[in-house]
Amino acid sequence: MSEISADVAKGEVRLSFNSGFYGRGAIEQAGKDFSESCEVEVDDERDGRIGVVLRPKAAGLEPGVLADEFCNYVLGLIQNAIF
Amino acid sequence: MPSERKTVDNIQTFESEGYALVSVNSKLYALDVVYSAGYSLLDKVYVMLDGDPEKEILVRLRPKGEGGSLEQLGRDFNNELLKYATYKVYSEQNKDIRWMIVEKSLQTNCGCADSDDGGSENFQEDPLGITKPWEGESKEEGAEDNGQGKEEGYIDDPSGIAKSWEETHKEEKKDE
Repeated sequence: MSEISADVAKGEVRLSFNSGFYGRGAIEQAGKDFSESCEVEVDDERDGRIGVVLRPKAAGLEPGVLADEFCNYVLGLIQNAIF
Repeated sequence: MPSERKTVDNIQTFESEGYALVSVNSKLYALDVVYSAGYSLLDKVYVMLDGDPEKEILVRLRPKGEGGSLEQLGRDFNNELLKYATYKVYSEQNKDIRWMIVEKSLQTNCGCADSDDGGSENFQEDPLGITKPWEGESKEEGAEDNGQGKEEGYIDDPSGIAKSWEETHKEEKKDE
């Protein structure tokens, strides 16, 4: 299953997207759109997975919710690109 | 804390983690149908896709708010899958009709459908030779007029009012 792991000490959350479902373009676009609220790192594809690290800029943002919102946002971008 | 895991049909629920995992056979449902079904639930759940796009697609659904059954969430997703799969089938079946309707409406709007511009698309058989393209007809008239010494665009002037500047001044010079 897709990995969402939060590192509380570092204040970051790591996501691992299956590249069979999520295109790199959509993930990078989502990263750009989220860059106001958090620092985003998109890793290179490894073993069919694309890693993303999110570090919230504001203290009030919960990393887990941020990660889930990021997933939804990427799915929205993919869906909009299809239609 | 042990994970409370429950499996019903293609839905696995993980109560302690707070998500449902729906297994979708990718031979039954195309990937774009799965995207659409997930997209339709985005306001209620967090959606994450995984698995093998060629065999089995795993859809993780985590509700945004408290309350509500995870199993029911999975069932709602199954219904959305079926809805979009049906939509896709009918959409494919009606593709030609939709194309024809759009084409017809565009033709109507541009005024091409009824225009007789001699184009090959709207050409109809005319064994009696009644129809003539506008340009052809006017050229023939122009040719006849030129034969009688009239210029193209000449209007009959029985009272002799219409005279060119040169003609008027020649007459004045003669008078002087």
